[in-house]
Amino acid sequence: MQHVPFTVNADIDLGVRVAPYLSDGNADVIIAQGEVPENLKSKTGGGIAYDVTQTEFLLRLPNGTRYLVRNGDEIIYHRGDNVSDRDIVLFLLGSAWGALCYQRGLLPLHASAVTVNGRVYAFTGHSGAGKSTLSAALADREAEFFTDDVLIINPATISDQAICYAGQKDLKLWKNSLKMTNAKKMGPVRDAEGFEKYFAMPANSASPMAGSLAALLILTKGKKLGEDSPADIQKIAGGAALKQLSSSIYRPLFAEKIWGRKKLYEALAQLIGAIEIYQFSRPFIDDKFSDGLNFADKWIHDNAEKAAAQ
Amino acid sequence: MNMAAAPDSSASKNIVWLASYPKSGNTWTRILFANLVGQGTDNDTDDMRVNLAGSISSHRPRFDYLTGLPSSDLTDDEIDLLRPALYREVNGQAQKMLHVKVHDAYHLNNAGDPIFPADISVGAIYIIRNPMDVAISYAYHQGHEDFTKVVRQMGAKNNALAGGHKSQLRQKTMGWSGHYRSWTQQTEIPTLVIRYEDMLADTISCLKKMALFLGLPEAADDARIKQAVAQSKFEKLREQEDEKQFIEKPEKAERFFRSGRAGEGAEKLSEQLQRKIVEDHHGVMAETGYLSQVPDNISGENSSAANY
Repeated sequence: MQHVPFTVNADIDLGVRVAPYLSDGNADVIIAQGEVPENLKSKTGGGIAYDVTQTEFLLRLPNGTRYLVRNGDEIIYHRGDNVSDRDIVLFLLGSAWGALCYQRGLLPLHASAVTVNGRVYAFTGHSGAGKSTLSAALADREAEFFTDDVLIINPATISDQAICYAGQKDLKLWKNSLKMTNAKKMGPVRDAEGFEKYFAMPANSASPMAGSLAALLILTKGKKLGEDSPADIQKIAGGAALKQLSSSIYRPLFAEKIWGRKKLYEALAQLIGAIEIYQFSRPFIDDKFSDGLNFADKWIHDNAEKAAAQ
Repeated sequence: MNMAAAPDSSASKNIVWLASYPKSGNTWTRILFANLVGQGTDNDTDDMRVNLAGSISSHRPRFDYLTGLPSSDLTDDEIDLLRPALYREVNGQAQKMLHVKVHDAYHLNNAGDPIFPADISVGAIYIIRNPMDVAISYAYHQGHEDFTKVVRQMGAKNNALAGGHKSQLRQKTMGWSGHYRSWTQQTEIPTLVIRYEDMLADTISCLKKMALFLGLPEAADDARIKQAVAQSKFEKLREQEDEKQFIEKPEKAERFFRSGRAGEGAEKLSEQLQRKIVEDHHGVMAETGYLSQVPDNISGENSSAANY
């Protein structure tokens, strides 16, 4: 099994988040500061903050920073006025990294994950759904932290199982989530005043960079009114699973515009054949976080034990 | 009241802003329109979503989806820089008129651009509710009964909702009076002001008035308006909420559709808090007819502290 899906050589300190990807020698991807246009003239698609051509992807940030992702083997960045290295790297390892994956034929999922008995359990959901917090809190128990925010799959290698790669090995957590996870607080994600989100190291991050994806759990709100909204995990399949999976990919419009819908849905169909998809509903309230955490902890260990017994 | 030119429903303009301070009848209005024009619900899941096609201006997942940027890694001011383009994108993709719920005050971002661009706006309907009742409803919405806290929020010109790690994007409200002033004093987007209490008293007339303002063909169809009103009865919405939780209900709130009636503020707020509301919002309350409903011993006609 490959250690990482590609290697990187960068002229900027990418930090510990993607340390296993870094290479001093010949790397698959070069990251360097350079000339980046404001627009791509021959764009075939695009959106509010990005342009797409057959071989290029341009991302524009509100702070004036731009990234040109080219041919799947190069990211050139243009630094906006007074933009720090930290801010450059934050979005380079986010949206630009996602575009790079698509150009390289890789499918990134918007998910955080832990491993139990070598099996990867991933949580996905929209921003604020609790992916990172839940993964970090499970890593404070018996699970090992696997990845935050991005989980990468190579559709070309999917068989009866789907090998997945960790996107980044540390966390970004809001201040209130740090308390709930026992993760070690590192530096701030942004320098802006009042922006209380921090990089953090999970309690247990000793897992490998690659593993077999056992289950994808879609995080949703509990549906019942009032106090009795218990946590629950239900398997979903068929069209419902495909719909949820398509909502779980990282920067879905990038996928559609770089790959096209046909290629995207072929990859998703392949993936559905190799993994199990569940809906995990629980109260989205800090006071009841432990209810969902306990439920997920038990469910994952039961699932992993069953798999080991088979 | 129409504060600007007539609404424009030309092909390039698809968005109607349903603007209000929170807990003023905005969602009910959105449901009325959904039932009137037959958009119904856009059920991505079995959650009780109301006309997600328009949704709410602070919808974080939509921002992330359309921009390709993680709002949780952007500052609130950076997000505001992208919001005009975001709504232009939403407008461009719209196949029909969208009724977008807005709790933001009308304001500019740091680039000097209005958050809500006039060039995509059919018009705005501004729903205003007695601030005494807003205070009660908003406290329960936040999951507490600390009315003092809510009255303070309503009086703070720098007040903002959500943002940061919250599930919605930041919305600058500018306080209850500031919110009203921001929308009614801007001249870019034609705006109709409707009082929530008038909607309660005569929903059919108010819906017809709003439909006429927006130039909807349904405005001339009295039977359809009547049907839309019947489908949107408060009791019916509560029943639906009992079955399927309303997607916009905050986790700490017991329910989204709680009471909806007028007059709760006068019953539940202390005289001191009622006086504080009058003090903070005297001008707008007078302009919108709410001041005359306040007993003389509270309205304090001799008060010199009117801020607006």
